[in-house]
Amino acid sequence: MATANEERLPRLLALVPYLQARPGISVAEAAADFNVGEAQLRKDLTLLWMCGLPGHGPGDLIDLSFEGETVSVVFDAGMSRPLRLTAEEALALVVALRTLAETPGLADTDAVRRALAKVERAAGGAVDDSTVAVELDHNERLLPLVQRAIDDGRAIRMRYYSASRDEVSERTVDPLRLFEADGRDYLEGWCRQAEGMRVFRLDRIEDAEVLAEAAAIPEGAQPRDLTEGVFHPASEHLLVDLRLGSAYAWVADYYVAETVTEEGDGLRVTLRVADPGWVRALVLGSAGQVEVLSPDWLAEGIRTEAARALDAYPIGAK
Amino acid sequence: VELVGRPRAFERPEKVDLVEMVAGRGFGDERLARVRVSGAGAGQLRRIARSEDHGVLTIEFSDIQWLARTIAGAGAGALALDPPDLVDAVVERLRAAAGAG
Repeated sequence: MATANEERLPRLLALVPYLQARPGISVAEAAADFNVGEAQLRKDLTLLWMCGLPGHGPGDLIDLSFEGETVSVVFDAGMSRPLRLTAEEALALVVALRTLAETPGLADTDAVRRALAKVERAAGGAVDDSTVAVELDHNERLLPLVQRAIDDGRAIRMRYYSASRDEVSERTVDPLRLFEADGRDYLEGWCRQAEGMRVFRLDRIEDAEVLAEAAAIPEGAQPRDLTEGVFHPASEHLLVDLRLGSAYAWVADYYVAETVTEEGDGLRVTLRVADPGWVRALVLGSAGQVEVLSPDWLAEGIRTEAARALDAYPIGAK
Repeated sequence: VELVGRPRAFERPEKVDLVEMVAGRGFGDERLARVRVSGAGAGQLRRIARSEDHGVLTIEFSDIQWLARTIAGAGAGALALDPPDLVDAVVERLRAAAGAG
């Protein structure tokens, strides 16, 4: 914390040009601007009265008139320019303003850019324009956009990467809400392609734009109950039995498993999956570390897929 | 904010993506792979590709096993073309998946 004196000196230095720009301002208003009491401001004015140029005679000292409730500067003793921002102050302001300017959904980026130009000019070159650059990460860009769509009740068109299907698709979504779970941001809304409520991970939205079209969530569409986590396996989902090598034991923690038993070096897990696509990709890439024990059709389908992929390689089909 | 060193002691390097660096990429030890993709799948490969030309992706990578796993995971939807050690790594994984297991 700055001590009273550390705060007082900059205030004293700033007071003269401030008052000069506002002849006849009321003591109360000036005190409010400097965030001090009226009594403190009067003390400051009394002190300023005794400050000035060497010589200390009449005509050297700052002269203020603060009879009654208003203040005016009679003689400024050369203190006519406001105190410059220190490099640290200017830098903090420049970084904050650039972050604002980068934030999408901000109504008036022009005002931010004008303020930025002023601060940079006022800093008198203390902050080199080319040394500061602020870029928002993906989610910081998307969050305000999605939030705005929700607030304004508008649909969103987006390109979304579905990990379970390993595919990017274009969707139109009527957004319902944003939520955070396990450190990730999600958008929940009505997906017009899937014709159902869906949850989208923000970091998997590649592009998004807010449409002029109003969002229309069909009546009766229920948001997901999040009390048990984002994903809860349902009994209608496929039950898959997997054998995991030790390098893939993480699967048992990463996905919601129904049963986990140790088997040799590895694990045997059963889990419910809505879309077996991710299991297929997991097994194909695992170098034999993950094996589907049941259902048979999934295990067989993966073996066939691997053989089909191998056929495309000249050295593959041995 | 704390001042360290003199003003302009450093020049801001051109085109440094800090977010990318923190994410563990962009350290300059990458190699280039070429992967042919077909159909609607292989979304992850398409996402990380630097460019796509007539269904052939150019992908920067530093972890060959990670990329081999991802290519094999895409099944018949992705075919590794280059470099040869990547092709071998993918084939090895696919053989394991096609085998008795």
